[in-house]
Amino acid sequence: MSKEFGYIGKEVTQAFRDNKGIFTPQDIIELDQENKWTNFGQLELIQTQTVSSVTDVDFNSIDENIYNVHFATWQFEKAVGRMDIRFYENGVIETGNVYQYARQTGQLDGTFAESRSTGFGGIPIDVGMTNKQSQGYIYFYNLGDSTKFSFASLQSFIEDYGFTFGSGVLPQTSLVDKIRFRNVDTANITGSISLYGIKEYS
Amino acid sequence: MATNLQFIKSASGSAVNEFSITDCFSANYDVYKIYVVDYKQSHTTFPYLRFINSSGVDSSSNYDYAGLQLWANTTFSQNKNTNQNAMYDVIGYSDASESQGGINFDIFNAFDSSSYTFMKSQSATNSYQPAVGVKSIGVQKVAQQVTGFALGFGGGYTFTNITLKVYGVK
Repeated sequence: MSKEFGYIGKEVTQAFRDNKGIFTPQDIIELDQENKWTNFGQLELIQTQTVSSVTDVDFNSIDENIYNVHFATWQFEKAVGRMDIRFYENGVIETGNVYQYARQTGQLDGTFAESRSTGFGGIPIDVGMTNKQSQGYIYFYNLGDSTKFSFASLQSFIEDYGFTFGSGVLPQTSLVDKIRFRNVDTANITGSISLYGIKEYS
Repeated sequence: MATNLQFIKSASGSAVNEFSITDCFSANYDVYKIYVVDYKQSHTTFPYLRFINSSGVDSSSNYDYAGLQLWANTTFSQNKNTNQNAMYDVIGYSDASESQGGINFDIFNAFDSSSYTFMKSQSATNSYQPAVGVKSIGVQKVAQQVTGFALGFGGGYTFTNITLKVYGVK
């Protein structure tokens, strides 16, 4: 990529919010990749994982130093067993019964129920049906801030069951740098999960 | 153009009873996404939400809302009312001593002067522990042009600090 951007014999420095010159489509692509192109598209895909017959899905690079808010969507095909979220703190997974959560479920037969815990092994994201599809989304907050707890809020829908929504927290100040989607019952899951960052500008 | 979030503005405040975010809604978007990414309060009470029109913060009694407060340690609570001067208790509250939690709002039809303005939100916060989640809906039953919003408290309580981001959904 030329660094002249239309200026003859002069290199021009580009930066977010400070783009000068004439740009080719390729210039824009490359500057965007370098985060130097002023483009306020803020839902940024970090990674999509498509898995088959695994028990856990780990996101090992979540750009927690860039994003304060993360967003993930999932779609599990013929899921078996319950799913939850566990966090890695500085690379070490938290497996203790230290997570807190509260969630509401609504079943297709009209039954509604509460579920809660102040000492659980993860943040539940669905209710665990056998050979049913599950889809949902979850927000994560403060993962990369070692001075704050790590929070999540979510909503999901399970085939032939209904919905669940709720919130959870890992109530200890730590830097979370990885996320695990775990099958609590160590059953195999097949599907895809996408993790996004919500980009911020001050 | 692909659908995406488009950054509109960020705002921060401190030691403020009612935190107003002005001129963030426009004709450019029908739907807005708001993230409260950092906040701490002087007292553990639920903040309220109001909208801002051309005359300022609208505290007339035309807000309806309903929500469910999900507690990690006790029975959930319903929260609902009609014809109030704000949407009370529709988002979670933070521990008074720590900056904690995350909140997001969706705002619909704010700038459309022929439509009511609608809101839905979901929160994950803690309040002296344990965790609390809040899921809410609300409407301001006035067909008017809304240009911003305010989060605040009664009783003289304040946000010790607050930072939020506003995005348009394109």
